Amino acid sequence: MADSNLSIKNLRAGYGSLDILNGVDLDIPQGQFVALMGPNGAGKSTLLKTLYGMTTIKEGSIDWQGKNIAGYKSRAILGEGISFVPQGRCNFPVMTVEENLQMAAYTLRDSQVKTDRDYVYDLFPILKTRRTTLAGNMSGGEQQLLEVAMAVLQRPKVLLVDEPSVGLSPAAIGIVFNELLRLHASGLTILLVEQNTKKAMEVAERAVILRLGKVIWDGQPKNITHDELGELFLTGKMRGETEAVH
Amino acid sequence: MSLTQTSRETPLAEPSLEVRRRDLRLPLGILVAIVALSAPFLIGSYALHAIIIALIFLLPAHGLNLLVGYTGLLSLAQAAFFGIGAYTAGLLAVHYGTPFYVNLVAAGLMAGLIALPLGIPALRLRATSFVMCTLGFVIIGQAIAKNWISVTRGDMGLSSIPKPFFALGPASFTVSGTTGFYYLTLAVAVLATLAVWAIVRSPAGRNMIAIRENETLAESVGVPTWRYKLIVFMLSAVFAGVGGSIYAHYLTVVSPLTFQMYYSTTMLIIVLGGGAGTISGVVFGSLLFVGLSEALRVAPELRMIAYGFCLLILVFWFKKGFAPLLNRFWSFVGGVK
Repeated sequence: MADSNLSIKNLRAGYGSLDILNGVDLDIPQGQFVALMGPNGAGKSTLLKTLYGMTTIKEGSIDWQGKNIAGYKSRAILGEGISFVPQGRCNFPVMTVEENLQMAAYTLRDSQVKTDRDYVYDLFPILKTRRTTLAGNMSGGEQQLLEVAMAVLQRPKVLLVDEPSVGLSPAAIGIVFNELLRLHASGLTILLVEQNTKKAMEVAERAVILRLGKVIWDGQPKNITHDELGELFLTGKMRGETEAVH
Repeated sequence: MSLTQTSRETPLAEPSLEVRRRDLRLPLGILVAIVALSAPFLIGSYALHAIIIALIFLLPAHGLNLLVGYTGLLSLAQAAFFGIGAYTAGLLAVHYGTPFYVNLVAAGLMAGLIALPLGIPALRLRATSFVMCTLGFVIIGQAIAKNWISVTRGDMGLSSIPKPFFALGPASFTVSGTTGFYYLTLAVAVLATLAVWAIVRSPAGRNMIAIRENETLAESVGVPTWRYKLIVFMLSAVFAGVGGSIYAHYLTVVSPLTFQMYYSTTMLIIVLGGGAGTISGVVFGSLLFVGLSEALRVAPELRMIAYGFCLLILVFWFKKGFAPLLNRFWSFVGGVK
């Protein structure tokens, strides 16, 4: 496959001795917007964390830009152009927006920090107006945008986003997803884990459904209905099928 | 002239909407400095003694504040490093007759160095396990001080530690008397306070706060959190060691009781009660809690009850310590409405 693909082969990983992913195979071309879905405990978040070097990998490989990055530390993976927006609030609430962005630029050279910060302010003008506000005093949606901004500050090629809609109002969810679409339009590969399947299917060009640590369905969101999705989540099989595809 | 010019430039300008009173922060600061410098002439020797003890405890409290208040690591080990500093200074002074500043630096360095091998395993633990582990250090320290009789003289303790003396070439002088000791302690306390201020204002200080707020996130943006925690742990021990050295010279006696949980908790009360993560809060806390504890000696039978009662009030009404109150007072003095 081409180097620009993120290619996951037979990935088995988890926490300590507990395996959550039981052989995941996934090939993601550069620039694709992929929604990872599945019931609770399917291993969606674990897959993102594994890609970001936060779990124990037992088997398999993650090929990225001609290297197998399986087993890399988070910081090295960040250096390879993959950024992660974790689930839940993950900013420094007692710091201002500006200070949060400076923290996110920790690994960058001082001379570079200012240009990269300005790049982020251009991407998210609302953050510029909130520059001196304490992150903890902003709304959930604004904080989520800040967290995405902290992740794209280092201009990654791949953005891993874990449940950005948690705890947000419908209006805020709309704003966050629009921003994700805008980032995607600029060429960013996005891997999105989302419980809000309706919203995820709207924005993503490809849906990957995990169940019990394996990929059980992979295709375009338009090729699957919500009923079928529910069926898949519950049973791992489609109606009228004896075995799930893939 | 300037008045007419101003009125011409802004002919219809109302007085600023923000009604500011005069900024009295500088005068207040000067007043505090004057009071601090003239305290020996204003108060009795017992009160002065209480303030000296408070200033000595301020040092380990500053160190603990870096750890608890800024990095988010709750430690009970401070008394152990306080004791190590006290014994280091005491042994040097008794056996080698070294000047005060040599003992002070040696005590800080010794405490910091011993914190390194203790911190490496302890900081692998999290939350309550870390607290329990640091508690263990105090108990081990006391056991060593009691049983390593050939060095520490066990329960008899080290006595006749000389009063601090300074030697510069042929000239030397000894600090004796409560007044002299007060100025010496005040100088060290002021320097330590400035040092803490410089640390927390630096980029390193912000990284410490980042670790306190969200260690995982700090790690993920690239802050070497483990190295930071270890360095802050050592630094907090240095502050405690320095405090211990002054303590040894002041009391002229060091015994295994220097390693006691009561000291660790007192330091923790100073930090949490004064306001963790603030410098002024900790300074205020040390004066208040150590001063309170000494002042209550007038009613010995009620002393601990009254002290406990004060802590209860603190827990219920001042959850963040006195720091928010101090901040409000400070902006009031600054003339902000």
